[in-house]
Formats: sequence, C-alpha cells, structure tokens
Amino acid sequence: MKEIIKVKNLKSYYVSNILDKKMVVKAVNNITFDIYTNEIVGIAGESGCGKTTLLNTLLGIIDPPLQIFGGEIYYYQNEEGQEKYINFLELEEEEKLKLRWKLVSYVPQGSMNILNPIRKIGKIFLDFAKSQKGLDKNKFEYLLNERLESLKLPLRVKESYSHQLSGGMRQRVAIALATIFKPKIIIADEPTTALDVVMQRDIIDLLSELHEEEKNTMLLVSHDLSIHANICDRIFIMYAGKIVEIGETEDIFKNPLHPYTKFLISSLPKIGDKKIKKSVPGKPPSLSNLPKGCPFHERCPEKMDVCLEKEPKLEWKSNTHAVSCFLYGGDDIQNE
Amino acid sequence: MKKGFLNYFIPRIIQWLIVIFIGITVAFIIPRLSPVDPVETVLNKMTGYSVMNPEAVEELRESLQAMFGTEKNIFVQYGEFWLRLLKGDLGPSLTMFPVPVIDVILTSLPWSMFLLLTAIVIAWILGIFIGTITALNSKKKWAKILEGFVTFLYPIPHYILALVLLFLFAYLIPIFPLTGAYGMGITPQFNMQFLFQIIKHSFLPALSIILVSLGWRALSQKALVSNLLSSDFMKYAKIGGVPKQTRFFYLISNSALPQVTDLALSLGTVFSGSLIVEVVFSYPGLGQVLQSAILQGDYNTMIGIVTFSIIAIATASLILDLLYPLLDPRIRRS
Amino acid sequence: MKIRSFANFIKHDKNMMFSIILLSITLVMILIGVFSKYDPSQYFLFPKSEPPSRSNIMGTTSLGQDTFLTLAKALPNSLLIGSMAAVISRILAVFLGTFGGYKGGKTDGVISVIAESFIVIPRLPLLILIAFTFKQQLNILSMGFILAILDWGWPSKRYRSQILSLKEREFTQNAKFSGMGDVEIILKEFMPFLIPYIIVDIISGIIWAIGMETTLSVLGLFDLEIPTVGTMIYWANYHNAIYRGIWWWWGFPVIFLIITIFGLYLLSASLQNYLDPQTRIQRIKVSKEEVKE
Repeated sequence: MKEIIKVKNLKSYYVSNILDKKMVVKAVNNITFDIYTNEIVGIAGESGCGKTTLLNTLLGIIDPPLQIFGGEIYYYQNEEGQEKYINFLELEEEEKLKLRWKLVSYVPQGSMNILNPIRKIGKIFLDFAKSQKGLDKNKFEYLLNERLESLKLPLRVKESYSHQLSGGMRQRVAIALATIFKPKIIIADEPTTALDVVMQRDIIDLLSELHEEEKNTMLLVSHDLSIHANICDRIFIMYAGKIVEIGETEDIFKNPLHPYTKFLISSLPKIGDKKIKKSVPGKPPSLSNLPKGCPFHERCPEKMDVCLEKEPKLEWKSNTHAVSCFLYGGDDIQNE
Repeated sequence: MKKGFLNYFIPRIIQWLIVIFIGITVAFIIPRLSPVDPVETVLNKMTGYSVMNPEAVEELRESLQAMFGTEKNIFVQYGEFWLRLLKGDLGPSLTMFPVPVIDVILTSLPWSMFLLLTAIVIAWILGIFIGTITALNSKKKWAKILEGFVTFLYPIPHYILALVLLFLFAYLIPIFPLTGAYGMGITPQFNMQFLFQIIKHSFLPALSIILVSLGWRALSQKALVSNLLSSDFMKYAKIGGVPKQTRFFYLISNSALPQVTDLALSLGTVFSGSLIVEVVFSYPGLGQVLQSAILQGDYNTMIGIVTFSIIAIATASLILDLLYPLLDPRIRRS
Repeated sequence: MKIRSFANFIKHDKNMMFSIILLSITLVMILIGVFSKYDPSQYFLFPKSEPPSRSNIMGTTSLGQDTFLTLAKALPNSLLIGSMAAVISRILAVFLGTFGGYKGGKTDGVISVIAESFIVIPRLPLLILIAFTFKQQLNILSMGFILAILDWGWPSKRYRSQILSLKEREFTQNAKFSGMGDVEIILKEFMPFLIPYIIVDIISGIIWAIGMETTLSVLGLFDLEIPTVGTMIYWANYHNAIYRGIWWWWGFPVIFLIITIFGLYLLSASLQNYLDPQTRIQRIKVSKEEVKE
C-alpha cells in the first residue's frame, strides 16, 4: 500500500479584518496524516471543527479570507510508469486545475444544487470536460454513457434539466459528474446529510460499489459516525482544527482512546441498549480564540493538570492506532 | 403540457385586464372629481388662449359636454367611455379641435417609440454589462469608481439629469442641438444626411434616459452576479475547472432572466422618464404633446395620453411576461 | 451594546460618512430657511438677475429675489412634501401589505392585484392628470398626499413578502397557540422585524417624492407661489434663465437637490448594509470578542 496523500503540518487559517479588528480562525491547526491507495477513510467531527476547510485545502481551493500558514500536501502520481510526489500547494492554479477531476475529485453535499439550473445536463458534463484540454468529443460521449449506465441513470438524463430530476437522481448525476474521469481520489463532503434514510443507503452503496470497481481512495467527511461505521476502513477524529485520533474502524468503535471519541461512540444508539445517552457537555471552543493547552480540556471529564498547560502530540500507540491525549503518556506539541 | 401552458398564461392575462380596468377607471373618475366644472374651465382657458368664433365655441361646448356628459348618469358616462375606447376613440383634441386625440398621439408616437426603444435596449445591455464586470472585479479600483458612477446616477430624477445634459452639451459646449428631432426647415427624407440629423437630435434625450435607467440596472446586476458567484453551482463549476468563458456565460444567462422580469416592471418608470426628457429637449414625441396639453388646458388630450399609456405599458409588460417562458427552461418544461 | 455597535459602524462606513457630510449641508440650508425672516413672495426687493456677489451669494432672480434665501425657503418645503409623501405611502403600504400577507387567500389576492396595477401603471401621466384636475387645491399637504397614493404599490409587495416568511417561522405558531390575536401578533412580533426596513424604505420614498414634486412643479402643476426646488426651476425656465445665462437661478437649486438626494441615498445604502444579515453576524462576532477583552 502506497501513500497517495501525504499531509505534513498543515496550517490553514481564515484571516479577516472587520471594523479594524483582526480575527484569525485556526480551522486547520497543524495537521499531519497519510492516506493510502485503495482505502476509504472517514473524517468525523462536529460542525465547525474544520472538516470543510481541510477538504477545501486538500482540493487546493484557497480563496481569501482563507490562507495557508504552513505545511505541505503531497499527492502521489503515476504517469506512464513515472512515479512522483507532487507538492500540491506549490502548484500554479493552472496545474492544480489539471489535477482536479483527474487525480482528485469532489462529491458535494447531498442537498447542494451543483447543476446550473438552466443548462442541459449533457452540456454541463461537456463544460466540466473542457478543463481537460485536447479532449475527444466522441470518446467523452462514450465515457459519459458508460458512467451514467454504471450509476443506473437513463441516458435521456443528458437532455434533461436539473429541476426535472428527483433528488436521488440528482445526487447520482453529481457523483457521475465528480467521477467522470475515474479519479484516483474522491473526496465526499457530507454525502448523506439532508437525505432521507433510503437515499442515504443508496449513496453509501453507490460509493461502495465505485470503490470496489475502481480500487480508488475515498475520503468521506461526515459528522454521522454511523456512516463511517458502514463503509470506512479507517477513521480520523477531528476536533477544533486538530486530528485527535486515527484508527481502523473496528478499533475506534471497540476501543476508543480519546475522551472525545468515547463520547461520540457512546452517543450512538445501539439496538437493545436502554441506557440514557449522554452528549458531550459544553460547546466546542471558538477557533479564533483557542484556550491554552489541550483544546478539549474544557469539556473533558478526565482532564489532568498538564492538560491545561500543554498540548498533546498525535502519537502512534500501535501500527494502526494514534491518539493525541496525555492520558496515554506522550509528549506535548512543543517538542515537535 | 397544455394544462401548464394555460396555468401560466391565464393569470397573467387576467392581471393585464385588471390593470387596464383599474387604470382606465381611475383615469375616468379623476376628471369627474374636479371641484370646478371641467367644461367651463377648459373653455375659458381655450378662448383665452386663442380667438375662436362663437360657432366653434358652441360646437366645442357640446362636444365637451358629450365627453364629460355632466348631465348624464355617471354609469352611462362610464359605459360610453368604454364603448368609445374599444373603438379606439379617445375624443377630439381640444386645442386642435376636431382632430381626434388618437391621431395626435399616433403622429407623435413613432418619435417616442424610436427614442424609448433605443434607450431601453441600450440601457439594459449596458447595465447588465457594467453590473457584471463590477461584480467580477469588485476589489479593483476602476470597478469601484465605475460602481460609484452608476450609484450616483441611480437616485437622480430624470428631469434634473436631462436639464444638466441640455445645459452642458447643448448650451455650454454646443455639440448637440437644443431642440427638435431634426433641424429647422429640413424636410424629412430617407437619406443618410437626414438619418444623421435624427441621431444628432436624439442623442442627448436618449443619453438622459439611458443614464438614469443604467443606475438601477447596473446596481441590480451587480447584486445578482455577486449572489450567483457564491451559489453552489458556480462554486462547483470553478472547482471542476469549467473554463472562464463558460462560467461567464453561466453568470450572464442566469442573471439575464430576472433582469427580463425586472425590465417589465420598470417600463412604467422609464416611460415616464422619457416623457419628461422629451419636454426638456423639445423632442416631438408624446412628452411634447403632453406638455402643450397642460399649457393649453387640453384636458381631452391629457386623459387620452393617460389612457393610451396605461394600455400600452400594461400590454408591453404582458408581452414580456409571455415571452419569458421561451427563455427560461424551468418554466417551459413544467 | 447595540448603540455602541451602531456608533462603531458609523465610524467605519464610508457611505455613512459621505451621507452625513452631504446631509449636513442640507440641514444648514434648512435651518437658515426656517429661521430666516425673508419672504420670497416679495418680488423686486433686489436688483434683477444679478450674478452671485458679496451681497447676494447666490445671485438674484429675474423676479428680484435673493436666490440663496429663496432656496433656503424652498429646500425645506420640497423635503417636507417628500417626507409626508413617503411616510403616508409607507403607512398605507405596511397596512395593506401586512394585512394581505397575513390573511392570505382572497384578501391577499385582491390586494396583490391592486398593488401590481399601481406598479405597472406609469405614474407620471396619472400624476399630471391628478395635479391638473386639482390645481386650485394644490399645496404642500395635498401634494404630499397625492404622491403618497401612487407610491404604495412596490413597498406593500416587499412588506407582504416579509410577512409571508415571518408567518412560517416557529415563533408565529407559538404566538398563535399561546392565544395572541392576529393584530397583536402583527404589532408585537412582526413589527420589530419590519421597522428597520420601513425606515430605510421611507428614505427611498422621500427621494422619489422629491423628484416627482420637482418634475410636476417644473411642468407648472403646483402652487407656483410656494417656493420649492421645482417651482424655482419653473420660474427660471419661464424667464428663459438657461438661454439668458442666468445659471445661478436654476443651477443652485439643482445642486442642492442633488446634494440632498444623494445624501439621502447614501444614508439608505449605509443603513441597508447595517441591516444586512451577513454583515450583522460578522459584527456580532467581533463585538463578542471585544466583550471578552
């Protein structure tokens, strides 16, 4: 298994200037991880923990007020036998564009309307294809038909407008659009949010099938842990702009280490379990005004004195399980 | 499909009928609310304006009384008013008795139409263009200046702008002529020289109308485009590498649709503006006719113009409304 | 905290700054006019058609009036007419729009259709007809009223759509279930939302009304003895001031009209910005940080 994405010390902040006051929101606060080929990784966390910003940064969408304050992202590319790691953030916009959709692609939230309402679907696909220069129209037509069929969409969809499709069909068209060039990496942001349970099942199955067939890598962001349980190989737990735990799905559910993870797991309903569920007390910290020490300590039931002073490092407790918490010993972030 | 077809058209046609009904009724009622006897007032004003022989005055009085029918029952008057209207009869002009008002209107109408249509089309296209480029380049200095310029134009009354333009470019720096649609003593012909005359004379009036309409059009377009830029599909298209020209087309086509609707709504304002602009530049259109009607107390012509303009604007608005489905596939297909 | 954030906003908003500068000029003129004992209807107090000089800083008119003092009397009159028209029309619009939007059904249908008519129908010809018919009765009050009854259409639609969205919100259902009457709901629950928008809208109404009054007066359709910006220009045109080079007679009224209109417009734009939900949220965020410090 090769690393297909390598993220090192990524810092991605929002800087804004309102009424002469400078505000810095540390949405992605010094994150390091690796993602491998042929796996499905889930990123779980509350709203406002920085998940979306992480995705945007991975896709190279750095629009002000978002700024990169440090770190690197490396993508693995294997073109005609030539292997290399591309330093993504150093690329020009042109080059980033070329990589998007072919190497890494983006499936938006289920509720979003990403299709131009007054343009035929077929034409929209062609518009997106134009990003790849020197495209053969006939070849593309063939690709498109193939993709539509594999997603169980009737070919007449090409002549329709977005408002003529049902919600489920629209989501499939969105997935078709994102995966038309069979990208090696698919990033999905809350693919099941705001969908009913039947459609949720549909989407999850679809993504699963895609993964099976094309052996690609998927990065699923969702606050819904049950989705992660269903389809992901590994899960990253994100909190206040940091990754606090990484592990294989079964491990995370059977043996959660970080107190935050424990809360997330225990709040999931289980059949036959009649215990009263406790949600995490308190609120997540403001990303523009982070407290000193561990970002979770204010809500942590197991906090110790050191947690108020020092920030724990993300450390590997086994080959596959990492956690950033002083409960398991370990260094603080200053030693990095 | 047919049912949807009717569902769209019928409410709009009913609205059109109601607008005309309300407008015409108001135009009918107002003169009859006059505290003074309109017939005598008009007669006094007219005989004071020019010398008329007694027979002519009597004819006028009879016709006026038939018009305002102060003896007849008001409902009968109302009915007769509508009957005449349906025949296209707006009564005789009082200052050019017995020339029918409708003829006076139709003679000056082509000039007004020429001015209005040119100005409306140019203002619409130019406004959309300016609005779009200011939205796309909102941080650049030139865009901010341009935006400031159209913002300045927006609240200025038509009359004031026309007056200032007249002073600056017809009097102070006499590039353009002061009055008329073509020079004095020139007979209309179909040649380039005459055409040039027309353009020279209609330039400032058209410019006045265009500048005022530009303000609203550009500002609303900037708002539309800014909103569109942050919409899901535009953002996604940018991520997906859809080329710049195509995305620009997305912006223009999506914003043009509400701008067509807005055009229909602003017809009344731009028409009123054109009337007053014509007065300032002594341009021989409806505005000129209206002004002389005011000066000479030609009540009939005034009522005629009000009636005519209500029907014309309401109908133009309806036509735009009915054409809209041809442009917007979402309405077409549902 | 609300007042502090508003004061903070004023300090930083360019629109508001310019607006205050322009409207201060207007205000000075108005104050001079209100307290001046000058009577513009006394013709020939000064030498006719004199250009601006030390004794008459804006020159004199062909009627022997001092332009500056006449304008000082005229400007507040125009503003008075505009303000009355705006306030009356918005009261009418709030009433009709709220009532229609809240009741829904046939009432709403009827009111909407009538409002739509008042939007489509070109207003100037109608205004001209009305002003001509009632020429003898035209004064500041009646003109304000006439302008008001033609300017309620658009605003009533806007308020109606606000009401429609407020109606669907949870707090409305809560109010209903807790036994609040319809009128009570409209006054206590909806009005606080609407009032800021109504204030901004009134400013737009003033701008339109002043423009219309000027237009009608210029056409001679007002009591020409009452000094307003419009009647001043009427008399200037009557005496062919433009072609005789008497630019100060009509020029200064035009300049001050533009200053006033533009000042009002910037005020409404700035207030609208202040009320815009997006920027509100940003300001709340920032002020919360301030409180922490």
